[in-house]
Amino acid sequence: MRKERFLETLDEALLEEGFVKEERREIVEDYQALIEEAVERGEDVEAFIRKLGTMNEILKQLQRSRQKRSSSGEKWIAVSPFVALILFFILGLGFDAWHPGWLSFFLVPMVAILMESRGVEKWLAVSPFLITTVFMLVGTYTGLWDPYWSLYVLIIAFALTTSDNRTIKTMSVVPLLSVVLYIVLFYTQPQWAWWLRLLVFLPVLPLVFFTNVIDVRFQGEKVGVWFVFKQPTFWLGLGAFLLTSALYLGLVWLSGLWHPTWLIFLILPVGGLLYAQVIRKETVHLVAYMPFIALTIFFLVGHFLGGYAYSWLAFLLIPIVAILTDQTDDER
Amino acid sequence: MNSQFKRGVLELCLLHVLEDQPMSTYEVLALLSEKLDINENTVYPLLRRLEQDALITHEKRYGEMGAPRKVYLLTEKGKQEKQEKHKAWSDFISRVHSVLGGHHDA
Repeated sequence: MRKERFLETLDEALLEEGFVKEERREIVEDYQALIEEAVERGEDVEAFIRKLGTMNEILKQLQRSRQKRSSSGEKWIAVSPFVALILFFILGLGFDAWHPGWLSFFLVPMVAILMESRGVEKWLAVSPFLITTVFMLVGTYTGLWDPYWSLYVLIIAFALTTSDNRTIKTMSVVPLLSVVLYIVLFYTQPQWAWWLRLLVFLPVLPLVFFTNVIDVRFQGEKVGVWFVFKQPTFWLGLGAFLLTSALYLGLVWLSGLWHPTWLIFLILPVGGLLYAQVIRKETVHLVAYMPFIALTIFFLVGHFLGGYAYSWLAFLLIPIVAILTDQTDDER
Repeated sequence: MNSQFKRGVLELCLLHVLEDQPMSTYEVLALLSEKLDINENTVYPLLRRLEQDALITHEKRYGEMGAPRKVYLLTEKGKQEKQEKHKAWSDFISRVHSVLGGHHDA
């Protein structure tokens, strides 16, 4: 394999494995320097690349090296479920706010993301949780689900800020302005038809293709759908999303229940974990499934049996399973 | 040989060679793969991890030609860690020899 091809494949594989941009750039630059030095010292480039092992072996080693967290980060991650639980308890018992107090459990993934990720991408990863929290609070206490659902469009703004390309980074202002304009129009032009207001998001649509979430090339530079489209997992994910959406709409049509039918979408992350575990033979700890199982039990018991005051106990499954399945990972 | 055991030994060797002089990834790789039976793909990830743990750091070395090269060197924490690991290793080897009937005493 030629050097350029090797580095390109490495970069794509690192993205697929969830390495953030900063890590990818550093690793690719280091491998480039390593190969160049080998060539300078008389080694054959293709033979040297073969010596480095297969791409899978390289990724496995790199994953292992990044699994080790800083001890202070580990402490925060370990303590976050208990802080979330106490907060949930205070909100529920003290203020009878079991809903939306359950949002405190978002602390767990948010702390883990902030401690484990690097660079601006951590804010992109944490943004769905932040936005859902604001959306649920505003929706619950004011009933203004519309226009504040539009806050989700801000995820695209966060995604654009992670681009290396300055022009694309600057374009993050477009989704931001669209959201502001949508909310302003909601209050100032209530006579407008809902679909007319939606037109403000038209300029955002093409920008989706410049996010790092779905990758394209711009001026010869990789900026974010192009090679993701090449990955079978992308098509699998898209197919699963469309099927789940169809199933959701079908169930809503039959039952008339938007909530908690949306729980069906949890099939997607759980399916992703199963795919990694069964098809890609990756190690997935049982505890990774627990937030989804706990959330499902919490809403089903809370909604159908009127037991939100008790159903929160389902979240105890997360630390309990973590403790019961905790073992020394001798591969580290 | 058990892979975890091997990795522990490799870590000690890596800290040892970097204590003597700053080295690039290639230099470490060339030196260690010549003397030890190691997988070439383990060295760079290990360097990354040691750097994350603040046991080693890197600086740029400017040569006569070409781009500046990243070389790794031991930090104070790394020197201390190396000493501890070295002592533990010597102690372990000495005990193994005593079990195997060698000349070292425990």
